[in-house]
Amino acid sequence: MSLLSRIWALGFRAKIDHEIEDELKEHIRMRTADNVAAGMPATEARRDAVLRFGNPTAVRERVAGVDTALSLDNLWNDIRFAGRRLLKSPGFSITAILTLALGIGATTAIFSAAYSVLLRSLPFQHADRIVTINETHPQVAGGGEVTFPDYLDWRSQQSSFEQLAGYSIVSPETVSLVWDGHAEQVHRVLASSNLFSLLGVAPSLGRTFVEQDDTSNVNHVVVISAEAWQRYFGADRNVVGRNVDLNGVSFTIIGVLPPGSAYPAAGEFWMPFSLMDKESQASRVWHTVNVLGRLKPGLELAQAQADMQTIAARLARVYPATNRNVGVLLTPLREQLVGSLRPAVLSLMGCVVLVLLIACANVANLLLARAAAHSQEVAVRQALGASRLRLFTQSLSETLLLCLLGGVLGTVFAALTLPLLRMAFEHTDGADPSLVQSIQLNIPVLLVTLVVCVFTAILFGLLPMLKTPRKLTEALRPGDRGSTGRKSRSRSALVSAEIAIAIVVLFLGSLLIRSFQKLIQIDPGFRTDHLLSLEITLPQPRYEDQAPATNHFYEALLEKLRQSPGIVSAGTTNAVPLNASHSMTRFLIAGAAPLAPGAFPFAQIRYVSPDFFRTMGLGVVKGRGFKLKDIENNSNLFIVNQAFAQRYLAGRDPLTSSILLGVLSPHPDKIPVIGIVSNARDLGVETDAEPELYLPGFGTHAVILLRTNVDPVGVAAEVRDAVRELDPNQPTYHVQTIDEVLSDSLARQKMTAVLLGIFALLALTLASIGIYGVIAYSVTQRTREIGVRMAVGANRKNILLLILREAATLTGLGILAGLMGAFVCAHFARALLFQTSSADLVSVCASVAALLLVALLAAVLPAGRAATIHPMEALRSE
Amino acid sequence: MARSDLQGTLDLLVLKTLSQTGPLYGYGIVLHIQSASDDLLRIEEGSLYPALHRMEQRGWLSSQWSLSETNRKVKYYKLTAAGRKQLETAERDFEQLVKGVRAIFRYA
Repeated sequence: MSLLSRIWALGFRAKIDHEIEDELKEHIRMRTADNVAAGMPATEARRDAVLRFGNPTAVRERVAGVDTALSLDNLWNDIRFAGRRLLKSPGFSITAILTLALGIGATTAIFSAAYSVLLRSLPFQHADRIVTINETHPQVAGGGEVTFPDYLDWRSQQSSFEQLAGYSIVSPETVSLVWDGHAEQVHRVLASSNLFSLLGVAPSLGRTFVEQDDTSNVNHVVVISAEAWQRYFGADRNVVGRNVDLNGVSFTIIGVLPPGSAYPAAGEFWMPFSLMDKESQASRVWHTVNVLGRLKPGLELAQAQADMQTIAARLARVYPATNRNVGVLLTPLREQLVGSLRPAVLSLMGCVVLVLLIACANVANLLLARAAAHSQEVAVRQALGASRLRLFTQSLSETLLLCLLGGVLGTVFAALTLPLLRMAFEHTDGADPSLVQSIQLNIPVLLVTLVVCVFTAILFGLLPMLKTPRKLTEALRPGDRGSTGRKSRSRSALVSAEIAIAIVVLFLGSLLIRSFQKLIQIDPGFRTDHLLSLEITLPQPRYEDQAPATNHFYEALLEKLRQSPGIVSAGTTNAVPLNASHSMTRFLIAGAAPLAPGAFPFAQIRYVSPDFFRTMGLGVVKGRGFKLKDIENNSNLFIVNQAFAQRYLAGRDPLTSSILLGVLSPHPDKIPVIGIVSNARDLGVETDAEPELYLPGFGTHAVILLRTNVDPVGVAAEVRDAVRELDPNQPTYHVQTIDEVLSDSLARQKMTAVLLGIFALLALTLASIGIYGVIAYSVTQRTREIGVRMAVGANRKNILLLILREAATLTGLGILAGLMGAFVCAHFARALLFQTSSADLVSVCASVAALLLVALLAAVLPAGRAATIHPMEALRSE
Repeated sequence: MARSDLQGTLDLLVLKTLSQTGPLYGYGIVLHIQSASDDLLRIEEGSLYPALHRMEQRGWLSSQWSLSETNRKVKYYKLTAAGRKQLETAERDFEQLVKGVRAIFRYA
């Protein structure tokens, strides 16, 4: 039998027993047969055989004992033994298991996030070679969409990519789907025919686009996502080939995508690019296209970046009016999808590992203290013949049991935390929702947890073993003063390290909490409470932007809403407050010095109804607001915000100024400024108010804002009814209170701060347990010394100070080392900070003070006990 | 001094037997020891088996189930290379033990 098959067989005790049984029985049978052959009677022959053999049951047990000497049976015994030992000291066990559970649970939860966000492969082929390509402009934050002609030029001139594909989420993002008498508002995406082949996504039903769809006139076809297929069509397998009505036009469904492969993730219905309006297709003014490229194998990102930059420079020379200063920005797909989460996840991951380390150090400390208490027992067992290996496996099975129990409990903690994490990351700007939803406990994550458990177990199973005295006499000597000093030194070092790590976590936690505080103290410039927003998209071509029919619809709707008792005022705009917006325009101040082509400034632009400012709570600082007449007469009038006035109208009388719009066309519109309103941080509270232009008017797509004097959620139904009264088939969507938008937009910062705060508390608690443990242990060890000191004249105060000094030394060392580490870590985490320095003094003081306080509390208890030691008793105790 | 005891002696007997006879089952080993020692050495037959299994664990023997001369399924044991080496050591140890004991007898 090979060793392997023997080990294999060890798992099957029953089979082994059976084999032994057979072997022994055969022996007795053969002896009996020989006896009979020699002339004995049958019963006598059998009796003699058994007699010679000895007790068969005892023999069988002994043989089985030999066979299973190193088997699982033995391990199971060890584990049962370990379990009994743990049960015998429940205080130690519960502390150790809880400590490990907190450490492992936090690690598992955060690692799940890190795994899904940073490690797991994206559901696309060659995802590591896919990049997004944006146009940049010095005046537009980040990268933006590309104009359609630029996209076509890129496609034909580039040499770095296997292919380029484009898609467009043109405003309005949604169209109305009418199907089987239902009306729904669905997310649509216009896409180039090769988008899906670039991503390597094959349809689960039907087909995706082919090249003819890019150009042909019979292009009324759609591809739908798996989610849309389920939601709107009940997962009907015969959906391919059916016709549906989108914005009043009939489309044929040609394919269904597999689940989780939608790109962009919010998309539900994909239509061919050729359906984009002709004006956008021809214009280098409208930035509408998102471009994806798949790099040629082996090509560096920087090379492709340089190649694209060359093309952009060429375009800038040919079309200076539109393309001057326009650059190109290549971003790897993963970075694009989750890049905004990376700093938060990495910082959390770092802190959680630190907390785990503290937890481990604490458990190691507990085990060391136990090992010291058990050293005589261990020595006796060694003397009685237990091998070091045997003692080690036993100690290991104990720590393994601790870590596994901690791991199981920790996994439960993690499972409870994950929904909170998902919620927090979901609304982060630039985080792909489907990737965020994939943050779950899965096999790789649990495997890592298991590895962490086993690793910690081995580490701490070993540690007390290293402390086992090799010399029997040394261990058995009563009082054991020889090795105490060395032992408690190593334990003190462990605790100093714990304190240092705790300082790092505390500091990061308080930095983020401070930063979050600053964030929520910001005045956004308008009241976010009692404000409801919802969106509506009127179907074209029945309604057109700024057309009488559209105006009538909204005027009637707003009039109806105003009569509702809960609604104070109602207005419309074209961008949800506190969301990023690329609704921007080039402009020129009339009478200003002429600018070189391409040097025109940009400003945010909004179409609003007269009551918009009152509804938001923005004050008209100068001039007047809009009137309904302005819209009805189709008058072009500007109201600008203070930021605009300060930057572009300084030194002029704003109310006699005019602004030119459509500056790239030969005949720009000259529009007078009639008022100035106060600033609002309507692009997000983290962003300063940008220059903004307001025009009076209603578009087919509108964001309706309602200021209420009751709970704003309550009026949503009224709005829906009011819309339905005007048009029974008209859906409304994206109903949300602005307070929700605000808290969603801060959810990541809030969760990061809360989690780091929790980790900081954990670290603090664990460190204080560590300090308490070491000082208490040292007091017990020094009982005799304290007795002597008191006998020669030390008073209680001296003893108290003696012990506190010991605590102060290890705390002080820990804090010093910790602060150095903290500054380094904070420097790397500064991307997470808002208006807070990475060396923030308040945070330094807060974390040091918190730790000192806790350390003092943890040390005073045992120090007090030391001070009450009775010298005579202490000396007698030996 | 050579390490030798009763258990070691049983091991030696088994190893020697197997080196002389080739693969053999437990009962066969008992019979061989008995007949080769002219019935002088009678071992408690049951105690043979823990020794066989222990030596197998140590890699001195290997075992295999196959049919005996009388067509019964029995477990055959065979000496391995490590077992042969062990036999040499055990024989040397035993020689020394005997020498030592003899010396004491002569001295007495």
